[in-house]
Amino acid sequence: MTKPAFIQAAARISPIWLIPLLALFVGAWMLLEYQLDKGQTIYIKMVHAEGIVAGKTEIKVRSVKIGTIDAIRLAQSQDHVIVRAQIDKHYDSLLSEDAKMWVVKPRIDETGVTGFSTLLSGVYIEFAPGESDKLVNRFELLEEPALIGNDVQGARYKLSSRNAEVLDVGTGVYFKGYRIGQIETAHFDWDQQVMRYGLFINAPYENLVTLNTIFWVQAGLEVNLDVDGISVKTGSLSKLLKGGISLGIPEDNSPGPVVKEGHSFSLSESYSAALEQRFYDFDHYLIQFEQSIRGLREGAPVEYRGMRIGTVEQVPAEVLIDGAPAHFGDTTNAVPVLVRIEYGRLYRDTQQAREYWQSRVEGWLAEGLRASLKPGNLLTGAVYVDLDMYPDAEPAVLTKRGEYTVFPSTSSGISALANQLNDVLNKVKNLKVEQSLSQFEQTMANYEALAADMRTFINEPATRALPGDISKDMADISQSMRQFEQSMEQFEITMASFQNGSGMYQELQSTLQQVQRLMDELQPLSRGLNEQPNMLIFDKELPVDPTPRSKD
Amino acid sequence: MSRLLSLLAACALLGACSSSSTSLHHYQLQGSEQNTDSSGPTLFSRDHLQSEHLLRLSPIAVRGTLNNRAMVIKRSAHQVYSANYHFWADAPAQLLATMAQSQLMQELDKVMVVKGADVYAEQLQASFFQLDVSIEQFNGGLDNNAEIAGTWRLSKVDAKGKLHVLKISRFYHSQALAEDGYEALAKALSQAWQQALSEMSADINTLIASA
Repeated sequence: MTKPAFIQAAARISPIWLIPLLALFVGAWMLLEYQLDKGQTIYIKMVHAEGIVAGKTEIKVRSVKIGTIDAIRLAQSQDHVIVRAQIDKHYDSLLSEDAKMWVVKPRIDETGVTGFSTLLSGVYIEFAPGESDKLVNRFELLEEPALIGNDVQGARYKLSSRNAEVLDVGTGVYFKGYRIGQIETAHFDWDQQVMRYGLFINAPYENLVTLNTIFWVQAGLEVNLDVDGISVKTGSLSKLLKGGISLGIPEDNSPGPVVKEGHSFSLSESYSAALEQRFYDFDHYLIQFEQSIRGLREGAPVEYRGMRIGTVEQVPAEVLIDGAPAHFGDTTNAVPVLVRIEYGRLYRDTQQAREYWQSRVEGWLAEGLRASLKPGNLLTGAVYVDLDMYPDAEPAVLTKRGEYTVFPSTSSGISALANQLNDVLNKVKNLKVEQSLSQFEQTMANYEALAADMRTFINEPATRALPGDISKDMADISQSMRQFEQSMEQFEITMASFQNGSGMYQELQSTLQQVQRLMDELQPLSRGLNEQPNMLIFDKELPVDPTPRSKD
Repeated sequence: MSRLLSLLAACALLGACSSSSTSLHHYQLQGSEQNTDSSGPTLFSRDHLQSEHLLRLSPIAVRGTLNNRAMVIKRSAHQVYSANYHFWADAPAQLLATMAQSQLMQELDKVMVVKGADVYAEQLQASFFQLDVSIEQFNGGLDNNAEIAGTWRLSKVDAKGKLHVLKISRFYHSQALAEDGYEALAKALSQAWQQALSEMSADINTLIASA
């Protein structure tokens, strides 16, 4: 007997399929995990990728790794490189718009050696997070490390310099020799021909930057030659190599209010120049000189009896009056010079000084105040504008020429002398010399006739027999002459003794001896320096003297 | 970096300062009165009652390189050498004048010898004699010797201050060095100057007597 067959339908899906499903699920889970873990991808644009290795070069913030470079490729335009990097997801929030990046590699500059460790480990990218809330994923690499971190407190100011030497980015800014900031940016404005600097002053020193602050270039080495002798001042080594910018308040000046960030200042080439350039409150005057202005330069002082009250601005003044240059005028042949009367030089409070000057100047002019050219330096022939009282001057007032106020002038110095000489010569010319000469001739003829008469008179026998009184008188006279001669000799001797023995002579003599002794002492040194100029620095000695020998 | 550089600079400076310096030697002339070895120097004085004449010794003129503190030796007929480490204790002109005054005082009886420019005929109301000496050689010679040469001039200045020259004479004296070295040279030069002064004083004595 056969058993009936049970037909049972087989299960539709084999449990074996669970395995691929599980695998898929795990795979998807891993992918998700990876995607969730991956964090942000960023792209960095750089000029070249020197030292950067995909998969190895790290991105760090304060030496903590926040990501890795994972791909490097050349941009299509071939003028830069695009680097892709993966940032750890915890650090996504750092990718602000104003963040900065630069490559850390070994650098040597005046501030020291940095990035030395990257010699062995290879370069890495330093990331300086910004403060903006806007996040981005495209960045540009800086060529140089950011000088001032985003978290450094301080204030930024602008400096412009027309003629001071060019300074590098990173050059220090000093207050009384203490470094309080540095140059952050520097670029040359070709349009205005001005060097423009951005300064960063560290907190809390921004309070030192006030309205009356002056900035000047501090030379590393300052040699000063004056009546006290030679003084040489040097700063720190980095200042010596790179120079620096100093800021300060001129003596006797109040600092004024602290300025806002971004205020513009001008940079002068030296402290003395900075002092000269700080008089912003001034008025222009045109002075017309009826003489040559040779020797007058722009920047020459305008003085009142030796006190400086202004500066010469344009020589000759390039002003157009009625469409024609003023220095070739039709009506006058005077040469115009444009000067500034700087109120800050009159008095510390410029407002008060301005009011004082403007209310009094007409009165002074009425009393004879005039401008004239005076020689300042006889060797170079430089002249300056001098204001002084000339009570004899013809009355004058301030007049207008074009838009300028004209200050009355008078001729002086050589030209005044020349004028006087001219007058004298004219008088000489007007003398009737020919007439005088003919009169003289006539007189001479008369004298000749008289002499002839005298001769005949003397030769007459009667005259010759005159008594011997006259010859006795003559003997007396010659005796007096001898006495006079003796007195003169005595006087001569007295004078000689005065010259030789006087205290002045003795003093001079002893001073000369002292100088001679000093020179003697200095002689070996100067001789040594002559032969070996570097003997003071290096350990050098003069050659040994030959020994004088005796015959034995 | 800057520390390293400043350290180097400091080292260089310290090195320069601490460099050993070869020692300098200073010499002076010695007159005959100090040479008498036994009883010490004979001190000298003369007052106006003892002296009949006044001799003014003008500042001695020493020419050119010789007028340096450095001692000079001849290298050839036309070349002289100034020593680097051997110096006179005072300017040669001063040393020579001091020695001349003391020796002339010793050798000229009845003559008061005064040094320098502090004699004025018109104040004295009397005449005096004046000795001008100029030195052209005062150095180590080529022949292991020390030599001194120059010119002296004796004049009479009358009460009115007028000057009458009595004699002009050149002199040259050489003295062999007793031993090697600069000290011996200083000694030989002293001796040569002594000889020159002796000769001079003999001449001056006769001139003053006859004037």
